[in-house]
Amino acid sequence: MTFNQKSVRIGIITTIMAIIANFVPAVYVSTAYDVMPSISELMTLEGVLAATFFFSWVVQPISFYPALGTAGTYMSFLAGSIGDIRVPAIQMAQKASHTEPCTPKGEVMAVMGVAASVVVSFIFVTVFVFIGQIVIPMFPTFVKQSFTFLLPSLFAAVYTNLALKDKESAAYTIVGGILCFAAAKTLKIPGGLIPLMCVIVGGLVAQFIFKKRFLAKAK
Amino acid sequence: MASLKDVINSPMLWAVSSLMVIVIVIQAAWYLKAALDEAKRLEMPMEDVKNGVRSAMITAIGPSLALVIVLISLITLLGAPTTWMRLNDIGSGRTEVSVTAIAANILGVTAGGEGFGLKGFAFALWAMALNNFGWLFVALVCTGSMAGIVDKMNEKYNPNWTKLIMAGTTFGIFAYLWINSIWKKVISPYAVASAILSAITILLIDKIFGDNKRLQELSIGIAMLVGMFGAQALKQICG
Repeated sequence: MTFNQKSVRIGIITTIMAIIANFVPAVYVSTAYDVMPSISELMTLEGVLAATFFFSWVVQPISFYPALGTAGTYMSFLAGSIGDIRVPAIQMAQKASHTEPCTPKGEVMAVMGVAASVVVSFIFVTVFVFIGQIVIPMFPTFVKQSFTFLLPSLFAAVYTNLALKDKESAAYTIVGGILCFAAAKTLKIPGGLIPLMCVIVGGLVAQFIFKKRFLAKAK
Repeated sequence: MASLKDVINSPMLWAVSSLMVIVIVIQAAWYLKAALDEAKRLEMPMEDVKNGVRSAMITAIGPSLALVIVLISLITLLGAPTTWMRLNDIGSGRTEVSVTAIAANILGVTAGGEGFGLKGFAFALWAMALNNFGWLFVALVCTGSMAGIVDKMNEKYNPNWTKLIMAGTTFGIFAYLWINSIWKKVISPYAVASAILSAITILLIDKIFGDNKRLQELSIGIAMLVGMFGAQALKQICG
C-alpha cells in the first residue's frame, strides 16, 4: 500500500467517525431534554445554511488540495483553521526540513506539519477553555488590539516566503488575485467562488510560466 | 425542566462533546505515525524531520492564540463544552457565532437572548453540526479522487508541468488568503501596513540571516509579530 493510499484509508475511516461524533451533542441534547426540532425546521435550517455556505463547502476542499495534499486535506477539513494555521505549518515544516512541496519527502513533512499543528491548537484551545476566562482579560490591551492585524501579517509572511522560491509566478498571481477580487465585486459573483477563481488564475500563471521556461528551453 | 445554564456546562455535554475532539487527536496521531514510518522508509534524516515538526509547531502558536481570543464570548453564548468542541473542529469561532445566529433567527429569537432557551441551544447545535457536515462530507467524497487525479496527471503529463501547476494553484490560494485578509468594505491602511512590514521582515531574514537555520524556522512567526505590533503601534501614533 503506497503512502497516498494509506493516507486515503486513514482519512476515510476518521472522517466517518468525525461525521458521527459531529452530530452526537445535537442528538443528545434534543432527545435528553425533549427539544428535538421538527423535520421542517431542520430542512429550513439546512436550506439557509446551504445558501450561505454551499460554495465554501464545495470550493474550499478542492481549492486547498494542492497546498494541503491528501492527508493534509483530511486533517485540515476536520480540525479547521486551514489558511491561518495548517498551511503556514506545512510551509515551515518543509522549509525547516529542506524538502520541496509535491515531492514524496515534502508530502511526508506536510503531513507531519499539519498533525503537529493540530496538536498545538488542541493544547491551546483545551488549556484556554479552562483558564481563558482568567488569563485572556489579563493580556495587555496593545497585544489584544494587535490581533486585528494577525491575518494580514501572517498571510503576507506566508506569501512572501513562498515568493522567495519563484518571484515571477508570485508577482503575476498576486496581480491576478487582486483582479479576481475586483471582478467579483463588480460582477457581484458570490464571495465563496473567489478562492476557486484565484486557484484557476494561479494555474493559468503556472501554465504560462511553464511554456516560457520549459518549452522555450526545449526549442 | 433543566435550565439552559445547567445544560450548556453539564458533565454529560462535556462527555458527548469530547467524542469529536478525541477523533481529531486520534486522526493527527495516526497520520503522524504513518508519516514517521514513511520518513524512515524514504531514509529521511531524523534531524531534518525534527526541525520541520518543531518549526511547524512554533508557527502554529501565534494563530492558535488568535483562535482562543474569541473564546470568552463563545463560552458565554454556548457554554464551555460546545466551545471546546467547535474551536477544535472545522469552522472558526466567527462561523460558529454566525451559524448560531442563523439558527436563532429561524426560531424567531436572538442568540443568547431571553427566548433562546434549550430549544434555541439544541437548534444551534444542529446548525453547527449541519454546517460542519458540509465540509466533512465534501472532504470525504472528493479527497480520495483528488489524490487519484494527481497520480494520473503525473503519469500522463510532464511531471515538471504537474509540479508547476500544483505550485501555481498553491500560489493562487495563498494570494486569495492574503488579499481576502485586507480586502474589506473599507480597506484599513494599518492592515496594509502590517502586511508590508511582515513581508519586508521575511525578505530581511532571508537576505541577512539566510544561513541561520534557527531563525529561518521562526521566520513566519517573527514576521507576523513585527507586522501585528508594528501596525498597532502605527495606529496608536497616527490614529
